Amino acid sequence: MIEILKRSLLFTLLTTLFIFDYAFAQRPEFILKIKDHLFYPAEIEIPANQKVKLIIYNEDQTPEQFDSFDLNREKVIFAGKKSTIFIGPLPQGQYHFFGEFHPNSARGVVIVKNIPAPSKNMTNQSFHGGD
Amino acid sequence: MLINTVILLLRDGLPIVLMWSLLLLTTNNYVAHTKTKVNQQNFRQNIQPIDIDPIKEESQRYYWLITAIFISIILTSILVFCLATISQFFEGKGIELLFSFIFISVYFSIVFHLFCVIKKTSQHWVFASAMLSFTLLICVNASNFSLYFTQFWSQSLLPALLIGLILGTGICISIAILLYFSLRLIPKYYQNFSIYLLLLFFGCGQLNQAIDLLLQIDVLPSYPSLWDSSFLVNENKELGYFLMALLGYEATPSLLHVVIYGGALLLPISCFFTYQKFTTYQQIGKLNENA
Repeated sequence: MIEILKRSLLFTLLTTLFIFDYAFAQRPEFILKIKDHLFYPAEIEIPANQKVKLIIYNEDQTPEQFDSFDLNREKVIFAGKKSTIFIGPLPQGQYHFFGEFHPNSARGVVIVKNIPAPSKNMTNQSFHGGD
Repeated sequence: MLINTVILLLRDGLPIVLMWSLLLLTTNNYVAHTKTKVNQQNFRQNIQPIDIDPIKEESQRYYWLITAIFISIILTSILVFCLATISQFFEGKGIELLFSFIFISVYFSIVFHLFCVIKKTSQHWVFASAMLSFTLLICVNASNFSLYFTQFWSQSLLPALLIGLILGTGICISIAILLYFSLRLIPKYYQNFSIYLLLLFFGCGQLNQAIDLLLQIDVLPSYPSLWDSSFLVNENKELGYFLMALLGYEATPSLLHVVIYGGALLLPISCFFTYQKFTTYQQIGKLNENA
């Protein structure tokens, strides 16, 4: 019984270390802004088969919910705050997202292409010349 | 605005009412079984049953539900007030970490509740575990919807918001009532097992929610989808919403989803059958000793 407990504890510890090591790995960053219930840019290009970090700034006075069935992501971004979500690795294609609180205006698309992997600290502002 | 309110309420309200139905079924079946057993014991020992006021008896049966709703209103109000601050913890990952912890707690409290109901432990443990799981689920889902609702409260969109709220609540309650009575119609021999299994599936669905949140903040590794069943049941459609709420349905699950969901489902079931076997052997052993 004690032997089983020791092995379970060791397994849990190793798994936790693996998860934390994985969690702190660097990812390419892309910036998205919400202003007047619109996403800027409305189209984001990211490399295929790579996990990327999407930083969303809400410049409005009300919260907005970033939602995407294609990407399976959902997050509330509060007024004047920023939030981070990770998307990918994704195959080539288009993945739509929208603002759940203003679905008619806040709409955008993530375009996944076979483009060279950017350096880990590059953002879409330097990589694609975004806003 | 009206349609958006209905959709959001379905997304956040449906899991609450479905869990309400399932927990009502498990607790009512537990109480009915306990009452029958006590009556049988009294009959064998020739003890006159004590007259209990039926209204008092009914209120005792549902006190866990009333307490859970009362506590969750308070906790949800506090959570909505603090969410903006929590969202900035751990580099913007605070909400996901908190909600995934709550969803995992809901799963474990459901498993504990099922354990108490099957093993016929004390009534207090049964009701306490039901109350805990229900309270936690309401806190998460109600806080999401409250953020949306309070945002538009003071604007001219309030009538559309209220109509959407009434419509959405009506739809959710109708579905819950249909589920409750559909499960009651199952033959007695299979009824308990079906209800317990469905509640376990529901718990695993909450675990799926936790996985999605942890994937979102890169705490868990991402894997490609194993299959795409959106041609059968689309997550965006009404049936997809219902299956997502009841079973944690995913149209494009990854290996991680399948492994964790399968493990969370099979482990309690295998423990249940092992326990059944163990108690059967124990009873056979006792009979042999007496013989």
